[in-house]
Amino acid sequence: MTPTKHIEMRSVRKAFRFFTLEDLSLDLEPGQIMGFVGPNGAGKSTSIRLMTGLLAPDAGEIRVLGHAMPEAQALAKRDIGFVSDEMRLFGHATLGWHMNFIASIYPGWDAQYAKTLVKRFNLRPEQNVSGLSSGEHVKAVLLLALARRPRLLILDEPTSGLDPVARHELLSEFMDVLRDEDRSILFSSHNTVDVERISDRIAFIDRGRLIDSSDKEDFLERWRRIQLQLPAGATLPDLPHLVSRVDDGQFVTLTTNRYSEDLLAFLGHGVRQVQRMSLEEIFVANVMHHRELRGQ
Amino acid sequence: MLHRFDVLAVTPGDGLTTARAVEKYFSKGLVFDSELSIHCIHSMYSGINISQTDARPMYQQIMEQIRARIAAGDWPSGKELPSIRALAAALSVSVITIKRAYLDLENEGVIVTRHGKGSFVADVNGLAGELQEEKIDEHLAAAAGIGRQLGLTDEDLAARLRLAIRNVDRK
Amino acid sequence: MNMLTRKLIAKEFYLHRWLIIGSTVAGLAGLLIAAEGKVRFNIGMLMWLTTIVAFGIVLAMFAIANERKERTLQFVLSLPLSHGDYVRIKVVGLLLCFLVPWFILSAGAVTLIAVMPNLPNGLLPYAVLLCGFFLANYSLVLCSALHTASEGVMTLVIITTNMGITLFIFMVGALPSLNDHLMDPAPVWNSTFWTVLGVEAATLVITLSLPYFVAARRRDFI
Repeated sequence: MTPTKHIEMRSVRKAFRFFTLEDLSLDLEPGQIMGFVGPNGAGKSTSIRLMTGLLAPDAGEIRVLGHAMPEAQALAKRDIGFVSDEMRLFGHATLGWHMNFIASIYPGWDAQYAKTLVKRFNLRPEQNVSGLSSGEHVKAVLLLALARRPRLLILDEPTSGLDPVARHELLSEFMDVLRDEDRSILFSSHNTVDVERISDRIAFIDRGRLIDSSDKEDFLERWRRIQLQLPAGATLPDLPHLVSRVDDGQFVTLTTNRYSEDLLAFLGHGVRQVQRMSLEEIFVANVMHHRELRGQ
Repeated sequence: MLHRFDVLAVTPGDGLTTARAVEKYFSKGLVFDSELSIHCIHSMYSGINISQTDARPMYQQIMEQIRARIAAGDWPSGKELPSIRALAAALSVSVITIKRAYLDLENEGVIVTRHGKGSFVADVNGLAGELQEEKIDEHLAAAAGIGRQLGLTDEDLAARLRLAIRNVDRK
Repeated sequence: MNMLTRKLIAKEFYLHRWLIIGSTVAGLAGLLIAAEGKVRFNIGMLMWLTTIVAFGIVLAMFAIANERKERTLQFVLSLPLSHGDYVRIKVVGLLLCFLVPWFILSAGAVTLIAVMPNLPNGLLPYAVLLCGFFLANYSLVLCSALHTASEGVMTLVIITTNMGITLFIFMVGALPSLNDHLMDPAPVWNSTFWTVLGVEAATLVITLSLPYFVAARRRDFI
């Protein structure tokens, strides 16, 4: 295992009564943002809990910032900012109290940046946490994590419940973190539009397994929807890397995950349209494809 | 050397130099008001916009907008481009997308990347003009294609072009 | 003690400040009422007793079970500490939070007995054992709360300990070697006293060290 990676998971296994995370291998390099995408119950939160030391794996290895998890989590967490949408601050204290609390624990606290974020996120330090709306609460937790300037940010659904303006502010802050090529972010999200925009790498997870992991631009380049009109009586030869095929009389719609100029040439004159696919479409097609392969 | 209470005077056209300087100091930890530097850099590149609802991929949109600025002369030959990470932060777009745009622009010969120093607008005489000419050829090719689909004759198409020129002159 | 530990213990005091202050005040009020005489003595002592016991239960429940339920546990665990650190800091912090009112109210009761002429000093051994019982009882509830996430088990523990109080008051109070000397003008520290105190101390040591060996070793925390 190389010491430079920020997150390294090797063949991690975690079994619960009704769900098992199987053979999960994941890498996050410094200076990267990884988007972690999967349906509900796929194992995103479990994977993230394994990364942050809340859970211990049944098998496999986990290293975060070079530290073995969960054994060395006290050391690792000095430099990790972990935010989950399930996390709650102490209701009977103010945001200001929390800011002082965190500032006294972490030497990296940037008071000036914290003040900027308070303004930008439209929060009030004098306000009691119990009085915050769910969106404001998420922003407060993120503020506490961001203002510490941690090397690694692990975020579980950071933008859930946020209005578009807040989301925009947040994405802007995340990208700002990445100006430092020694810092990195891993975030799980249902918001495929945001994931598509800011991620360098994307990992798809479904039913406890990692089904695909690649550079974002690689995904966007490899996947296409091709519409063909076959001449009467003609059939399409067997094609490799076909994710799905829908026939509608003469018209055939193919989905491929290995698009190339050669493929286009091979398909010939019948091709009427070649469409790029959004990350959301790629995600859904990928999940369906893998479920078919596994006979589910 | 920037000091805490220096006010950066930002003038258009000089923006790239100022922003690059601020960004260099920021990454060295010498600029303490992060809001100031971010604001500077954002306002320098705020003209570049990436739409996710546009059919064209993000990296292509970036390339086009950079080419446009070079063609217009706003980004003259030899001028330093924003660093990949700075532009990514300013546009809220992934680093990998900016990297790809810069790579493709370099392959086209529009920019030049010097290892460890950054990327610069290629110092090719008439580059701006070349880009403009490429653009007009693209548009004419598209028009010709549509003309064929509509079944227009060569004269019809020429007539339409003349009409369009007259409309532009009138404005 | 490092900064994080200090801050987290201070946090326990801060978050439960009204509970701590309120219980101390209520318990002292009970003692003042008890000082006034016969019937008032019973009422006052009941108030004092209930306050200490209830305070212990509420503190343990709020600080642990609620932390888990309210998901502030995830926030605390995101700090640079291990699960073992969390358990150890929790034990120390919540013990200290309890000790402050407990010490004040125990000292208050002892002072009341020693000072008031109408209260024989023979009550002192019994009073000391009672205060010791409250401390042992609290550490039992605390230990249970750290080991189980089940609301059912905690409810059982609370009901059992409540019954235990009643049993203690009547059974231990009824022990002849103690009972005989309750009304003496001077306190009698006999072997029965030391035995009961010893059992309380042992309970305290076991219930406070168990988390260090069991709960702290847990690998999954959620």
